[in-house]
Amino acid sequence: MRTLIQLIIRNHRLVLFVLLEIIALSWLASTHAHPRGSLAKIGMEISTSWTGAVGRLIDYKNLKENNSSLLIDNARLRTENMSYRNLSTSGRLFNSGDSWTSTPAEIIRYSTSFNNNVLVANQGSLAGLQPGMGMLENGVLAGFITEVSANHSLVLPVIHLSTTWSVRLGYGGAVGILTWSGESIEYATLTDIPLSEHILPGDSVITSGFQGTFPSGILVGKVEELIVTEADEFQSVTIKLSADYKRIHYVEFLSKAGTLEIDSLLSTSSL
Amino acid sequence: MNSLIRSIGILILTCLLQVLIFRYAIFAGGWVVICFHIYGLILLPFELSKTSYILIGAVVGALIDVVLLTGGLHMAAGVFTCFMAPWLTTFIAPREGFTREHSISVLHDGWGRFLVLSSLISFTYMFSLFAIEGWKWSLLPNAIGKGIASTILNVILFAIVQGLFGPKPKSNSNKTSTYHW
Repeated sequence: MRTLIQLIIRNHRLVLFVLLEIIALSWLASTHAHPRGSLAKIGMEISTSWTGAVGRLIDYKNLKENNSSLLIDNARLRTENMSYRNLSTSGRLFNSGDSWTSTPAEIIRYSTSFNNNVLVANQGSLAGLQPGMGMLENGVLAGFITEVSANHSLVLPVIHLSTTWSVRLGYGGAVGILTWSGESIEYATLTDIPLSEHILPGDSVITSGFQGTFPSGILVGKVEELIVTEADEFQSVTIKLSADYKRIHYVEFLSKAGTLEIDSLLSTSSL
Repeated sequence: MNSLIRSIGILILTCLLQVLIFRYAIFAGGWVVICFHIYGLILLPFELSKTSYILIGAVVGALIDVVLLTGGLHMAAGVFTCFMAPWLTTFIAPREGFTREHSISVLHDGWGRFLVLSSLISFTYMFSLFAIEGWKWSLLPNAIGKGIASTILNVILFAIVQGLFGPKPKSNSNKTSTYHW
């Protein structure tokens, strides 16, 4: 024991270095890959208070551009609203009577330069947001909420290495898994697509609706390139994401009335 | 002691500038990132013990992490850099060594020593930051590339700041004119 203490004292710098690295890497593992817990909340609050102040100043500068963007968005939403009314009656997009509701928000903090990027929105549990809700940017899939505080939400975007998304090729195509490779924020990879599936560059990729985070039919991106290896039974597809993470600002969060019921059903199921 | 207080003041100032301004300085799709607080770490006096270096690196990194929401990334890089810093300093030390209160500056050590130490410490920090962030052997070449690119920009910035705000030589010019009128 005495020898051990002497050894530690003799190498105290190395011990301190290893100890601090372990603390830092544990912190990184607990917050960076899937941000949760009180530290993530404290960081989020501190970070957002400053970014919010800067954001307000930038908002004034970009007012004209934002106004025109909002006008275009309003027009698009009106058109979409009309088409959804028609489609929901035929049951093509929504196969149950429950309708999706959206909550608008602004992105006030974001990172696009890391492998595990996160976004922070200026609405939280007080606005009815909950972890697991999907986020749209300009009407296309952009991410989902992983953590909420009273006034802010932490969002994991598609450009995060630990997220996977259930998507479909067109309305009648195969369902595959969308992941991000960590290279370009404009592209993601769709895997598990059977070789028999006929795919062409420019084909739409939409949400399957199986994750419960989004309704089916929400645009995710367009097919850019096919990756086929002789040995594999499946093909991979490079998708150009429709969400523009470089200019992301105004977003909406989707929620569905029956989601909690389905989640509790799944969690109690022994299957 | 004065040198230590001055260096800690500069470190706090560089951390504030990093958090308030340079947090937005991310260029070329994340390949070039400015970490201005490294300048504060470079200017720490050599009288500090190696243990203090490591602790300062950890505290600075943790503060940056809390504000920038990077969850331990800067802390890990800061601890590693400050662990390596005393060893990196030996590369530029003169034969007789540095005095205890000495802090690196262009005026006393010249541009060569300043740029070499800045490059070594910046690269160590940036490389460890990107390597830990990638956390894959396959992304190690990427981390080296990003580390080199970011180091170049950081060192240019540090050189500009050192040139503008670093210690200046005391003027020896005689203000008394030869001519009494």
